[in-house]
Amino acid sequence: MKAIIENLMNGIIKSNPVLVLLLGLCPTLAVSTSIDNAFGMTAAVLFVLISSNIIVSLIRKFTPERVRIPVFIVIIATLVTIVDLSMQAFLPALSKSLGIFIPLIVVNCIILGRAEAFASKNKLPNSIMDALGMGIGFGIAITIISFFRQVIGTGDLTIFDIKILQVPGLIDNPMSIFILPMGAFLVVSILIATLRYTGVINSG
Amino acid sequence: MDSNALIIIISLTLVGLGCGIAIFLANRFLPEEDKQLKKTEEISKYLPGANCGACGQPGCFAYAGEVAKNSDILKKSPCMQLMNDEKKLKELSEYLGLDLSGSSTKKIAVVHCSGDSEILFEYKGINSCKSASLLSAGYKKCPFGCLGFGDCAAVCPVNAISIDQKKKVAVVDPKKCIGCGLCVNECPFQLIEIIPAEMPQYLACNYLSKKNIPNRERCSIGCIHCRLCVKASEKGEVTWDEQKDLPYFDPEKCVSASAAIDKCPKKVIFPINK
Amino acid sequence: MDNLFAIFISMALINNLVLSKFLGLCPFFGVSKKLSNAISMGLAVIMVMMAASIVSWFLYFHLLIPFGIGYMSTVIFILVIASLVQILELTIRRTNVTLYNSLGIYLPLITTNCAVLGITFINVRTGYNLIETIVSALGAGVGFTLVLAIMSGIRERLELADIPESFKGIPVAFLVAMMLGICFIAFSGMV
Repeated sequence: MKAIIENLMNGIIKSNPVLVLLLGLCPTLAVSTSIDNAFGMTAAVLFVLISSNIIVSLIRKFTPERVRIPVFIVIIATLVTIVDLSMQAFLPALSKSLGIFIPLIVVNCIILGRAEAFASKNKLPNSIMDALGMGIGFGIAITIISFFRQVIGTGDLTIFDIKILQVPGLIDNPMSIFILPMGAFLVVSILIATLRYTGVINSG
Repeated sequence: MDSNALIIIISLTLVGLGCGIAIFLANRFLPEEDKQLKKTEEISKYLPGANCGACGQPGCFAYAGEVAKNSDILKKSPCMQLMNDEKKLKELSEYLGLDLSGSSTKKIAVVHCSGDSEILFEYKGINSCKSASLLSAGYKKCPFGCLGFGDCAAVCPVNAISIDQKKKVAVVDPKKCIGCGLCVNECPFQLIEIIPAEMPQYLACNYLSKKNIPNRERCSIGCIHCRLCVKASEKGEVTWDEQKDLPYFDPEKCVSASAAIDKCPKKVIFPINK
Repeated sequence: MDNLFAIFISMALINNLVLSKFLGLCPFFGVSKKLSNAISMGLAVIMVMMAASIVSWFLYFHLLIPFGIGYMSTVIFILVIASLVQILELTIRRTNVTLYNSLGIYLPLITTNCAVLGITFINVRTGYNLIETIVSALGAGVGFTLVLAIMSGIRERLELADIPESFKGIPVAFLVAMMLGICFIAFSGMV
């Protein structure tokens, strides 16, 4: 029981996939322009991560060594196609703003990495908890980054069309560099450096 | 069955078959795999993988290639980490069908500087020994003194070199050192020397009086060229190097010069503790 | 001809895969410590991108769309890319062992490179014809290699600089990438 909780907490802080392991940087930087996108991406990644970890952990005793990676990739690709089609059907606006990054979840290093490094060697409950932890860690990281980018870059915080706050000075003159790709690099760089400095995470 | 599902299954099968055939054809029509490659790969599994260069080859895989061509070179192998690892050595000798129980020459590195020289000026520049050495022969009073920025420590594959931050000097741990020699080229003052591991002492000074600079004296324990060590060695353990004006311990003989260590007025001959 | 040149410049510089589209970031920060590694990786990526784009173009427009299963593109493309990387690895292994050793683990990692899968999607979604696809893939590969080479050159210098402890490694690399990105915006005046 303790080990299972530890697997969960591992992914959130100590081995946070984005901030410590530095995996899955592509979608993190690209879709973190607004918090809606961040939530949508987290939901998609969580679904694929948990499902793929479950399936890989269940079949781990039957997959031959040499075809391991192609098998994992096909499983993940199928799951991603399901997510992609569901999103196009039920949440078309979100699907449009996330663009090609939904199909690109296939080559997201987090999912393939956890399938290879963890799920193929561990029992089912541990794998589920690990996937949950990693997904939540990813979600926390991407939400923090998109919070900063959205507030400073556009000046107002609107989640799912609910206006939460509007920063008085920034709403008229937003620093739009934060919405551009360069701003993403800046925010992540300062975030990781601050977390390392305050000792929340170790520099690997 | 739904026609859509049928189409998906057929197209996936076709693409999968196509990829499989392409890989099979590539396998068939490419030149033969280098037969040595398989053997080399097997051998390299037993090697340490540190890629230190002690063997003279650019990396463990290259050395494995040489061993694959002629396994006799393992009998006098300079690969220290392999020779010190009993288990790996046994497995490798079983794989090759050789008897490798003989010993080989173990070597270690020593830094000919005690680090006691006082600091002459505060250096602000690129934090590298090579850069600091270009500015007035270093920031220490002794123009041959170790500057302690760690160029040598950075290249050590086994982390055997540590930098004493108070004295700003590099120190080699003889238990960890594998004698690969990567550090020798890093030191701009050529303070590091590779000597046989059996050598019981070394001179912790490299003050070359023939190249001295006015007002840049040796440190408080630097060699004063008094030659008392040579006079104290009854069996000729210590001789004098006229070129450098420093005592010389013959690496071919590796004898203990305890009398010389005692007689040295500056106590600058350090014992090596293994 | 003008159109092809515009596509090439656009893919290589203006919409650079790494700096404006965020594809291929993992190898960008992982491989770019030594210049020679970076160039070898870049060349391998160019080859895989071009081959993958051509094959996936044929499959998409002549197999998937006519049969109405365009949504299978994700699975099919990744299968194609995985096989191509396998063939490339076999070829390099048989013909040039030294190159194979120096590339090491980076060759299989091209399979999970977002840039390669990304360029195939970009090509089919923009609806280029065959020639335009080839030029676009070539441009993307060249742009990727260019940025990788610049980044590794800068990082080699950064090794010697006095960087605060918490910024060492990835954070300072991200800051360099940000400045590179700002410089590359200047290229948008070219077309």
